[in-house]
Amino acid sequence: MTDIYDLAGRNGATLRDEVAATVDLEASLSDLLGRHNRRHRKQLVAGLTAAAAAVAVVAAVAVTRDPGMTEPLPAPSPTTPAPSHDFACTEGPSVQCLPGGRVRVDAARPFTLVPPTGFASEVSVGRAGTELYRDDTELGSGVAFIDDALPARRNKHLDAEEFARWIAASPYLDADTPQRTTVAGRPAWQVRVSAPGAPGDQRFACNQAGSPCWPVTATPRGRELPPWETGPWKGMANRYTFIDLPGGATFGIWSWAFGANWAAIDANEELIGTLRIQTP
Amino acid sequence: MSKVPESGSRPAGGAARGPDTVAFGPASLLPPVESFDDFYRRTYPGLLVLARALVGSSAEDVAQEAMLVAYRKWHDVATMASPVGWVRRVCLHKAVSTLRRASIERRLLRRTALADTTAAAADEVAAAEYFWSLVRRLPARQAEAVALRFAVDLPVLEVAEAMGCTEGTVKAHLARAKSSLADLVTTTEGARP
Repeated sequence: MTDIYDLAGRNGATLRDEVAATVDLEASLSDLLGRHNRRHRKQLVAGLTAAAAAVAVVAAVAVTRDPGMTEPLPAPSPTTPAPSHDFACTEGPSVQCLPGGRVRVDAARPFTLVPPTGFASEVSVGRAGTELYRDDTELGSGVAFIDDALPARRNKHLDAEEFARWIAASPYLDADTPQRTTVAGRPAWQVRVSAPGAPGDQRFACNQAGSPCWPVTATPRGRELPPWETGPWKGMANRYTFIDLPGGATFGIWSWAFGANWAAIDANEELIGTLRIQTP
Repeated sequence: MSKVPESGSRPAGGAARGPDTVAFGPASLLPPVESFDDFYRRTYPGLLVLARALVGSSAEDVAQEAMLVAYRKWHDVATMASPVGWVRRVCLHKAVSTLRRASIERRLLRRTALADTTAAAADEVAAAEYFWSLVRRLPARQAEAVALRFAVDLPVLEVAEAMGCTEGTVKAHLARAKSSLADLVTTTEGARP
């Protein structure tokens, strides 16, 4: 019988030798600095845009305000979400675990969530946005929060309504009529989508067939790489929600479930209902 | 190659550098700490080995993202008792997230018959890569223990530090992984490239 520890030791040594022989440390370090600079610029632009929007709002209020009015404007009072019963929060580089079962994500526009029962403990911040996965479905389901959602292969920014209507008009997707709704205390647009088939032509698939999905949202990856695309897979149930944010950004929420599991999509609304976006 | 900004670094003794580093005043009385560049050159290969064992082809992305977090927080990370241990934990966290996503996609590909098994076998031509692909089928904590112990070649004590658990727990994970891997090796022997 094979000695597993011996096998692991030999294959570990092979892996170390291969990495030592192939890694280009100076090129990797240069790549790292490039990544940092690209993200730093993106965050700076988002911050400046939000600050400019805040200044514009303050100026507009000052101009239009009745001079006799002394009562302050009523502050929004979101209901306090109930803490999760079994979500064991795992801290990450951009993820902070807060009291009361809250999770804070340090995106360009920071936001908080209170993951309910049924979600795994990792909050993954990656190229498709901030993702949480259910651990109570057979085939997989989750929600991706995209703090600056951009439409795939469209060289323009879309607001919440435009984004939902653009998805609904796709010839490759089955979609309901987009509905106006409220999410995180803000006006939003929502659309239910499914994909009856997979892209037959690789050129139309996400990332040129890196994944067999229909490209809906895109995440920029700098000048050297094309944007990372993601979207519905064949037979997947999806609900997209878009929220207009001050400064013109569109916050996207992609709720998805393999196996046309619409019950999971409905259950995901419990998580989405806890979203609070921090804006100036 | 563009270098990490020099401004704000201590002039002698291998200063801590990074985007937010300001090390004047009382900090300059502390013993010199390693520069980020030196830390990167010393640590990145091991981190890449760990990521390769755990996520395969996405390894470079995972290892670089972990290093990027270290770079941004270098002012704090550099003075930690074990910056290497810290960045390994970040890498493990990112690898687990990547694995979870990959596992969901794999299940769907199997279900929708989109998987190209020929291509998959061709990708895993090297026996070592084949072995680590088996490790990636283990539960996440077992895979982490095997990768840290045998790919990175760490003693059990350091594996425990990276995983944030006791040495006993590491040994338990390794024992369970050994048993599962023995089954996997036996059942997939015929399919081994």
